Parts: sequence; structure tokens; C-alpha cells
Amino acid sequence: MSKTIFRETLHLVIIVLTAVLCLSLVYELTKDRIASAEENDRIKSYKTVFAEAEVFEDAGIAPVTVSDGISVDAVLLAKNQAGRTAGYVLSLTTSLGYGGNIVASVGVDLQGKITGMTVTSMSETPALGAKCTESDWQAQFAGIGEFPIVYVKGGRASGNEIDAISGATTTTKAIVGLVNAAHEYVASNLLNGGAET
Amino acid sequence: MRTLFERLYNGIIRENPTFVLMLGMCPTLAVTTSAINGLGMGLSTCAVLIMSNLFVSLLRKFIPDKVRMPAYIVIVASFVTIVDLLMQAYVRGLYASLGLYIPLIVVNCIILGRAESYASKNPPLASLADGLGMGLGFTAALTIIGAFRELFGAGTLFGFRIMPDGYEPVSILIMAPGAFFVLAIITALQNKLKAPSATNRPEGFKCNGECSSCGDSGCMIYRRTEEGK
Repeated sequence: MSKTIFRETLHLVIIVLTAVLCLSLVYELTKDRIASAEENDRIKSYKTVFAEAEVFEDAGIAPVTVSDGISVDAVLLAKNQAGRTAGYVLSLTTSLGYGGNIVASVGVDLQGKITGMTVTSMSETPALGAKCTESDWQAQFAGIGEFPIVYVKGGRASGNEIDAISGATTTTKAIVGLVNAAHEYVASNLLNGGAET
Repeated sequence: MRTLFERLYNGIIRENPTFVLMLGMCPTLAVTTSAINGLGMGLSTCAVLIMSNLFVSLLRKFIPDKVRMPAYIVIVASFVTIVDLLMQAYVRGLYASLGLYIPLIVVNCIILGRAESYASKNPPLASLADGLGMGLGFTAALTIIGAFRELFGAGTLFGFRIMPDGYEPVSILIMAPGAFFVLAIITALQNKLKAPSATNRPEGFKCNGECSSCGDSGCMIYRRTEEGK
């Protein structure tokens, strides 16, 4: 053991403590801003799938697996300005993507129509499956009222068809399945029997 | 003043960390799927590099030689965390695409390399300039590679459509293998043109491969000759 070990340890401890102090300071300064930015991002993603609603309230439903590989993680009541429930926003996860889990939010109105869909997290192949995050592609889902939704290659025609992402059939299939599951969940658990929670 | 410009020139051109020293290949390959990602990663690394170089230099007499590595890592990791938090708070868009890679800056060998080979031996101002030069060199390199991959792999540049509509993008360029292809082409050109690079002969360096007169132990030529012994 060398004689300098105490000096070395002391200096290292001083450096580490100073670093800890600086970090906690920055953390304290940015904490609120990060929290509100995250909240904003979340509300923005709800807004994109349910533009008419103003307020989103947690419906307090426990996460449930609805079919093989697809689960409903959260259900929110989408309320309009008057405070009346205009529909639901669901957050779902599917494990059937090409590169692991895809998490998406889907809006469903009281008539069971899809109001919108947005992918919140995914790790699909860039330039292929990752195109599922493009708003042009996502916009196809808005307004669909016929189920089940199916995907076609090149040129959607009837009301329940979606253009597949070229070169990414697995991703398309996973997301179409997810949106269908969202509709099915709302139709059988929330709309029938008038479960106006 | 001359040292400062010399350091900038050194970092951006003569010892460009990516093209010449070939350090920090991991982020270079991983994040250059688009020009904007390359630019963002480069600038974040640049910010960390400037700060870590400055502080390593300021503390160079305080940090005991035997524990310098843990000391450097703590300093670098702190600045990376600060950049990470600031990005999360103020530039959400960039954070969404780069968030995964920011923690990787901690182990970016350019940063530890500069701390070890330059900042720990030189005064603060010169070290700061060295960090800025190296950071800008890294940024330029990442942006160029990103722009190339984005242009041919997706037909866009900084998100704007450049290629005509009829252009069929070479998608593989923006996938992981594309990074290797682009880097291999650049390195092959450097070798062909006998431009200075880590895969090439040491001509063009100020030391001309004479390590005894240079003393820069972080220099890759030195390391190679040492390994060869």
C-alpha cells in the first residue's frame, strides 16, 4: 500500500462530491420542466387521436391482455368542452411488430368509429417499418367505422382498408391488429351495456 | 491566440477524430441515419467535450495520476447527465431521436482520449479550444456521413425532399449495414488518395511518425508503434 493512497482517495472523493452537488442542482432546476414537457407530450398524443376532446381522464381500468400479444395498458375517457364523455382513448401494446413492442394510442368514439391512431414507441426498421410513425400513414385510420380493418397493398378502396407500408407487412399487420383490438375492446366492454363509467 | 486556432484546425481537419483518428466509431455508425441526427449527436458530444476538457485541464494538478481514469469518468459522466437533463427539458424533439445515444457519450473514446492525451497536460484555454476543435470535427464528420446516408437512403436532406419523386431510395443505406458501407467507402478513398487516416501511413501528421519528438501518448501512431513492440 502506497503512502499516497489517502491523498488519492481524498481527492477522488472531493471530485465525486462536487459532481453530485452539481448534478442535484441541475436536476432540481430541470425537474419541473421535464415533468410538464412529458405531460404535454402525452396530452398532445391523445389530442392527435381524439381531436374533439378537451380533457382526458383516467378511467381506472387495470391493464389487460386482450388477445395473443396485444394488451390494453390504459383507458382514458375523452371528454368534450361540456365535460361529457365523447369517446375513449386507449393505450395499447403489441408484441407482434418486427422489432419488438409497438405502443400506440387509439381513439374510439361512442359510435365505435376510430378517431385516430398514433404510435408512441416502436423500434421497427428505419425507412421501412419505422414509417408507421409518419402522420400521413397514421391518418388513414381516422374515421374508419367498418371492422375488421384489413390492409391492402397499393390503393385502398373500401372503408375498412389501409394501405400497407411497402416492405413492412409485419409492422402493418401488427398495427392493424392493434387498432382492431382497440375497437373490439371498446365495443364489447365500454359501449355495449352502456358502461358509462 | 495561435495555439487556439491551431487547436481548432487540428481538431476539424488535421486530426479529425472520425476521419483521421478513427475514434468514436460506435456513435458514428449508430446515429448517422439522418443529417439532423448526426448534427445533434455531434453538437451534444461537442458540448460535453468542451466542458470535460476544460475541467480536466483545470483539475490536472489536483487529480492524482493513479486515479485519473475514475476522476475523468466522473467528470465526463456528470456533464453527459447535465446535457441529457437539459435536452429533456428544452429540446424534446432532438431528445426523442437521440435520447438513447446520449448516455453513450460517457464512454465515447474521443472524450476520454482528449482528456488523457491533451487536457491533462495543457492549460485550460488551449484544452477548451482543443475540445471545441475536436467537437466540431466530430460534428462535421457525423453530419457529412448522415447527410450522405439520408440523401441516398431516403431522398431527403435535413428532412427536406431533395431527390426527384421518381428516385427509389436505397433503404439499406439508412439501416445499420449502410453505416459500414459509407464508412468503408470513405476509408477506401482516403487510402487510395493517401490522405492521412488511422488506416494509412503516418505522413501528414506533425510528428511524421516520430513519436520520440512528440510525446503525445494518446496519438494513435504512438499507440500502434507501442503495440507493435
